[in-house]
Amino acid sequence: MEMFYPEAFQQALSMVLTPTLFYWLAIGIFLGVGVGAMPGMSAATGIALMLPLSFFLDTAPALGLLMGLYKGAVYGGSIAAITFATPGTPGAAATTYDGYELTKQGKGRKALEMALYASITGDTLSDILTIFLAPALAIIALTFGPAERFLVAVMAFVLIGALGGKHPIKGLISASMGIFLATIGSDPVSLSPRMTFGFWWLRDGIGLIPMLIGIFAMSKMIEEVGLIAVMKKGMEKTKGAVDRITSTGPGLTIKEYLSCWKEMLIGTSIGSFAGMLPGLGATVGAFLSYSVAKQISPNRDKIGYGALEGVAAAEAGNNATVGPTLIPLLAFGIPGSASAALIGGGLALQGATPSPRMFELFPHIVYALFMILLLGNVFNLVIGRLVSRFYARLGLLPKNILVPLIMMMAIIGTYASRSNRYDVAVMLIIGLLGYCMRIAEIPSAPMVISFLLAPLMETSIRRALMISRGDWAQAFSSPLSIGLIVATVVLGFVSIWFQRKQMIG
Amino acid sequence: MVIKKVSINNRILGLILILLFVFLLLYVYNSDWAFRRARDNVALGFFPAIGLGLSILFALFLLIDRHSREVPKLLENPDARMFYIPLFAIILSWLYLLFINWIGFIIGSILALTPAIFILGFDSIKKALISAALISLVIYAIFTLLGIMLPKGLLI
Repeated sequence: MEMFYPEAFQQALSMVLTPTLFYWLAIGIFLGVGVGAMPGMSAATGIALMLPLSFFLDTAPALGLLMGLYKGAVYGGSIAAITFATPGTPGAAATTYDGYELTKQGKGRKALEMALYASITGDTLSDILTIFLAPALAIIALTFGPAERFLVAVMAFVLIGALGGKHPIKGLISASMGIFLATIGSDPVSLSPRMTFGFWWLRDGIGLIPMLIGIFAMSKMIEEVGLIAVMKKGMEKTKGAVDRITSTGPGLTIKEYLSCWKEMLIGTSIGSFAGMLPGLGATVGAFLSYSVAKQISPNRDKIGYGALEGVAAAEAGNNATVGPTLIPLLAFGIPGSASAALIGGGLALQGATPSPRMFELFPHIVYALFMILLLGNVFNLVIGRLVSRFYARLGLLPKNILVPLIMMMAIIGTYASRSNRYDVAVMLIIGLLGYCMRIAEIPSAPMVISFLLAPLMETSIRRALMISRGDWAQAFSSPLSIGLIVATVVLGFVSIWFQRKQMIG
Repeated sequence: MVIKKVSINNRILGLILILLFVFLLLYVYNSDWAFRRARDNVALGFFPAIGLGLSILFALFLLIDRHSREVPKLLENPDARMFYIPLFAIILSWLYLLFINWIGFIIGSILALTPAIFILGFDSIKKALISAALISLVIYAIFTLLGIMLPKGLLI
């Protein structure tokens, strides 16, 4: 594999520099900021709902729509956090501390603008890191044989399970369930049906769209239906909070923005690391950045009491995970987070299934994705600047309209992708499973990620065993394999220890 | 008579999961395809059993680890409505799909959305009807403009 393919780069340029891409990227960001601004919605829900639509678009516009949604939603979460002290997405929870304090002090507009600029700064710098790091790692990944690929997938499985939530065992149960669900359908070697429970429509396995929409959109809406019915939970936010944000107040000055450079740098570094490592993500990135900034920032005494520095660290921290979360996906074919799994799903629907040979087989798509990552930041800046104060009102949208609307979109989206009503049945069953997991506090992201990882694991191990003529010891005898086994065991223990320490702390 | 509500802790959850996974493992074991071998000599039931075996192993840990007596927040005082309302929502969603295939997308969606919006707490049926009609028309317009096929029925 070469480090750079000039022809593919030119092809990517012609794919990206089109009005259609600009149009869908703008729509993605416009919708994404809105999804992020609505408490209870997440980037994953928004991307899952738009996945069927992306199937009908060309590759670059489809990636523009999905990446725009992702970037927009991660930033949009800060709007509700600053306006109502209710984070729109879990990744924006750390923004609440200083953001809402600033709103109470009448500086909500400053906080919103700081959140936007810090998000764009963190996102852009981490995207540049992704563009340099992903191809280098992909070259390393290509030297791996099937046994090593299997072991890397096992390592990701352990990390995703162990770091997937506050209770590592539940994360591992979820990840194991994902492996089981991926075996429903046909055996990849003999193509004979297995685990179909006698249903002919399960012979192709569980489709990607029903799985993703069921887990990320339908299960959430079923939970909302349950909560509305049982707790009569409505929107308790007052219009006063929105008025404080939407009224004209002093905006952020360049001096104030530049004064937070250290916190943005902390957020970018920590967020990038959290994004790269499977199982972490925007929430961990934001909280780690915020707590580190609180300890080492020159203005640490002010952070927590309405300081722009706190908003800058948290927002740079969560948006800096967006690009790097694609590194394991593009280099190893391993989605490191729920959103990366959805982007991977979008790529698979376009016929470019993420794998360790992604750079070799589809360099033009990878380059187009890199360009979209950078372009998305410009669009996010402009659209975010225009709509953030208007979107602050989205938090007041009644859930009794929103919930049936999203359920309807989930049903139609699943149906429209293949005009197959059994896809809807699978989506509804998965939605119910996701709901049960939600109430049992079993994280669903590890299940989806391992569902996507399982085919890679199965085909790699079977290939490795064919090469070694069924000898397991010989299959994993290379020094690299032994190193990966040791690293997996060590990482598993370290991540469980890290979780325990965090819980005690 | 006062009926005491039972909270479901992680240990009970673990037991429920083990029962479910063991049932599925028995299904695999008793299937005629499970021991059939592919050309690489791997039995078809091997990987489903691996997924279920790992699930059982980790569910066993749920019985004994230090969080085993913790109760998930929504299961502290489980209400029967938490189980049958979602099930009801799933059945209605399936009926909605059949309904729009039979009667047509716009009319079917308005007829299904209006009571849903109203039951979920909208104060007036008239407002619910207007909201449902607007939502259905906007979605129809967007999907038609994008060239995405929506279910077609007897009416529009």
